[in-house]
Amino acid sequence: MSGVTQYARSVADRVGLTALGSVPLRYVIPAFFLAALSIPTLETSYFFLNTAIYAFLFIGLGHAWNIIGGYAGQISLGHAVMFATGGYTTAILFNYYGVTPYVGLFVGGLLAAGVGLALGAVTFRLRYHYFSIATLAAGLGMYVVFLRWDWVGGAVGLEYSLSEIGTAFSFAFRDRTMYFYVMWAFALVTTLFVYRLHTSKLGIYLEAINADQELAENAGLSAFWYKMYAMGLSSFIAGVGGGLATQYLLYIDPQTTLELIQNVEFVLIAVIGGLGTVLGPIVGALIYIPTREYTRTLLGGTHTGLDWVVFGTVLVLLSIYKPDGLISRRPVIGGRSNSADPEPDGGRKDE
Amino acid sequence: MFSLLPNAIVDGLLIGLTYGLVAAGLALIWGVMDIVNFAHGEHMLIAMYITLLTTAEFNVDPLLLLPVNIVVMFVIGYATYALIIKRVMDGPILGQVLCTFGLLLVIRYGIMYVAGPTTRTIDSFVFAGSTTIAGVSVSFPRVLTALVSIVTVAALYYILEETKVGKGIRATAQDKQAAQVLGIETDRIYAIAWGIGLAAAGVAGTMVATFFPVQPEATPVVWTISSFAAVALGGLGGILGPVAGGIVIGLVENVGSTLIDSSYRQLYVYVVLIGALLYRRETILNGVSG
Amino acid sequence: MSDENVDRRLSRRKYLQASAAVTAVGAAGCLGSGSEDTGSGGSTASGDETLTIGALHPLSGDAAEMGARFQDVVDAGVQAINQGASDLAPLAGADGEGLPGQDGAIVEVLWADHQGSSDVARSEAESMVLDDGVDILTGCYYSGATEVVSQVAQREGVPHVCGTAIGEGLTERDLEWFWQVPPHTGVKGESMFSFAADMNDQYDAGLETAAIIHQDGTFGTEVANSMERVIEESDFELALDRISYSAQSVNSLSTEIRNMEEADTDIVVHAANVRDALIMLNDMQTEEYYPEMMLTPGSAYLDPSVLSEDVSEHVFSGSDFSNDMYEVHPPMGAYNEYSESATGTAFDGNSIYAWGEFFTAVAAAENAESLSSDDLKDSLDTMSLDEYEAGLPYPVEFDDDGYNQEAFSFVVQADSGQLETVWPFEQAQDDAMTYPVPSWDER
Repeated sequence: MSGVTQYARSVADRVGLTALGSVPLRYVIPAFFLAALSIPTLETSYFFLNTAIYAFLFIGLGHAWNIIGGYAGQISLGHAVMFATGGYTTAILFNYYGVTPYVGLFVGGLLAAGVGLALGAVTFRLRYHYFSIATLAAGLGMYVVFLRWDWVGGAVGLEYSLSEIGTAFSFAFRDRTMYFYVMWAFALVTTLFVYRLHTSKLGIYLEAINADQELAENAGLSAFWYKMYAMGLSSFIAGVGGGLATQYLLYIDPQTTLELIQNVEFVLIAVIGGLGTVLGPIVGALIYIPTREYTRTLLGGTHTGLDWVVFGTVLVLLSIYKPDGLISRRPVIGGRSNSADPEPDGGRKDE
Repeated sequence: MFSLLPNAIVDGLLIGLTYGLVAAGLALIWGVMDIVNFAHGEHMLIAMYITLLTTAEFNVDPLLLLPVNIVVMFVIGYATYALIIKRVMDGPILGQVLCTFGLLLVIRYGIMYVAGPTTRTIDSFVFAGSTTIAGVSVSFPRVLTALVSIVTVAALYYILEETKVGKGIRATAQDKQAAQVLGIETDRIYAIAWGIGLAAAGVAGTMVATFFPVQPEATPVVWTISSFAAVALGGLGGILGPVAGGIVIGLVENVGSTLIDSSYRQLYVYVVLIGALLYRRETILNGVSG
Repeated sequence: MSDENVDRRLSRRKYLQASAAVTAVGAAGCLGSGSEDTGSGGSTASGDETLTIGALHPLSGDAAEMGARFQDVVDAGVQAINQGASDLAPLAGADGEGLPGQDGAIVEVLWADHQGSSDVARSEAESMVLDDGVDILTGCYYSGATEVVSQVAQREGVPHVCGTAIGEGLTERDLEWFWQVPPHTGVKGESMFSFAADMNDQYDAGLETAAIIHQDGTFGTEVANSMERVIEESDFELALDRISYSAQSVNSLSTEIRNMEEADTDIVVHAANVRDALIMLNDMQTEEYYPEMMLTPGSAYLDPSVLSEDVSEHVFSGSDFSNDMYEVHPPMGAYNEYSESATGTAFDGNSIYAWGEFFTAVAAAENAESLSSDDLKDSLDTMSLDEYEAGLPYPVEFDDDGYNQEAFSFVVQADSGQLETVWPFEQAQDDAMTYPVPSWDER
């Protein structure tokens, strides 16, 4: 490794908050979430609250993607499919059939899980790239279909009737701070879930499969079924997140849920923050969402594309120097809890 | 609808040849070093914009830009490998996917930032116009593009089969270590493969810009997806497979639109793509497919 | 009312106000006539209240150029008010500096780019209301964004005046804080097909069948829905099922054109963006096809980038604007000249909506007791403006749903890059119409 590369790696490692890495998660997580509860009480603009709402929603979504992308190592470029499935299900059940979103969210999650499992069933036997391509095609395909499908509103979308909301039944609130608490809860629940996953049997097996699939299979693990399990969980959470987002916006259409950008955001957050880690999606969401919101307006109100050039560059740099994101993986088994190890984890190609 | 079929088939063949050319470039890179260039459509976009902007600014005929773009895209490909891709080759696949995906964003939005978000079409083209032959309408730019695609594919084939570099590429693709033992500098081969692969896309981009309206966000996706589909159909064992795959994709797209419903044009390609993946499931486990 | 919710801390938008408002006011101050004290910028001499209008429009992406033209004409409007442009009577608020009806209060416009995305639109709208304290919301060109913003308006009790979205069902959503100024797609469709019917009566055009082809975005789909309804209720028939294509990735419409030709289509109705409009026209030329009548609902076919191309010659469109409308509506000519001299941007088929939207909001403020939300709402509910007062060639009077029942559309034809009124026949200039339309060879 050249001197420059080594220097770059050491800088990246420092940026990776290795100091923080030595504080046990079971203190960091509650501290963070307790502190976050105070956000709505801050005397700030609505804009700030809105940013916080989206940031916490995306913590949950980042966790969802991380389960399949970070832990299982399958790069999904189509998570918007599951997100949109959940969103549309919730919206349709409420607006067409009067079913309360408390149920709708759950059903949406289940449907999304179904879709994800179907995708996985087709592609998990193939090489990693094919999964990514298939998810990308599925995402774009769903966009095309939903634009033309009148029953779900087509390009015009579905709008919630304002007269129906504001009641507990409708799970839609006139007071925005309630939404923050909802997203906060979503982020908390998913974080706890992934925390448990990280040290659970499933989590360990997934990491093993990710590290070396052939070896894991020889050791008796069915890579396919564990990946399916992960995909199901990941899709369910993404679907619930989609439903929550729809309840916030009170409107859904293909352009807000199924465009390429929506797929990319899932990936960005987990990658920036740290794949296969518990803190990763939190860090990623807290970096990405405020950046997205503030650059959009600070660039004078015109989307010139510069923000995406920056995000893309960040992805490229991260892929070279820190493919595991800012927060490096904590080894689940074994002693060291910092990440001075210069060799990145993750699925390797066969030579 | 069946009376419109001949026209649809002709259209499909013509554009399919270009899909094939682009897919050949993608397959070359993929086959040699197992890197999927998710930014392939965006690389093609570079050539498209060079063509459009130069033509608009200096009134140069696009055909004259072909050699220019071949060289430019070759250099870009070589440099992309040497400076960026090389560094993720030894890392996790994850890193490789993210890397080309990041490049997708950088190139696409970089072009948008520099050249603006509006759709551009070529101002004038010497070969513009169309004619009707045997009841089938053909547009000259599209025919010319197809011809150039055929010539380029033939050139690619020749390079791979007959030249030393080409044989080096095929040897490396087959067995990297054996190639190294034989004294082939695999690193240089990889860079050349990237160069040739992007140059192929560059030829396609230059020609396509003569009849296609180009917009940074909308245009690349079509080409990336169709090249993936073509490769999925045709396999990675050479360039003729992807070219055949490209022709099939072109036909599927146009015949499907004519016979079934033109509103779902892209969907047919997505379905074929996923279908091809399903089919390939039986033949791929863990290596590069045959 | 909105003052209660305004956070007194520096809102992010306040210090971003590089655009319209500041330059307009500043320019007005510099150019202010007569005895103003330059220190305060002149136009605020007589009052310190400000009418703040929030404008949510697409300022980036495919619609960026159109959005920029919206900004220009609105800038001209702001200037006309703050600086005064009495010779533009009866334009609301133009008499003297500031708003006469509000003791000379000045107007400022805050812009936000919703990028065509509904969740961005909603965030920006709420931010405008809650953080920036706008008095009236305007926008949003896209139906999806308009719906979402109107919901914000309804929840917060702030008026939303929409002059740029023409979706048909927008006012049928039981909203009290939303008003739609221009003719919606249904009205436009009815004008278009009344024209076609009149062509049959007066010129024996023999038009019987129509085909709808549309881009698959919200605009295209909505227009197609309206057109279908109008055709079904008329004596015309659909030649084939309506055709849609991907707004994003379409590169050729030859297949679709051949399908329409095979189905014996007399009238082609195309709801398009600029890019696909050009593809359509060019491919029609390649296919050597031209229907009896190319009749569009406007939008792209009224855009200068399409009109500047030869292939757009002779296309008929439903429109609220034409280049020769000034003959029949002289005040519109005066407004157009003012806009052109103030900002370099003349009116066109789309920017005129933004002009009308702005002045309807201004008129609402002019006639209101105060700038409180409830007073503005009353002013809008009881609004009864004559033509030209809101900067449009028709009166503005809203029905109970908030729809301007006085709005009308006419039909224009493209001629050498200019739009000429052809219908109602009484409003057309002599020799304006070219019919039958010459085939491609004959041009």
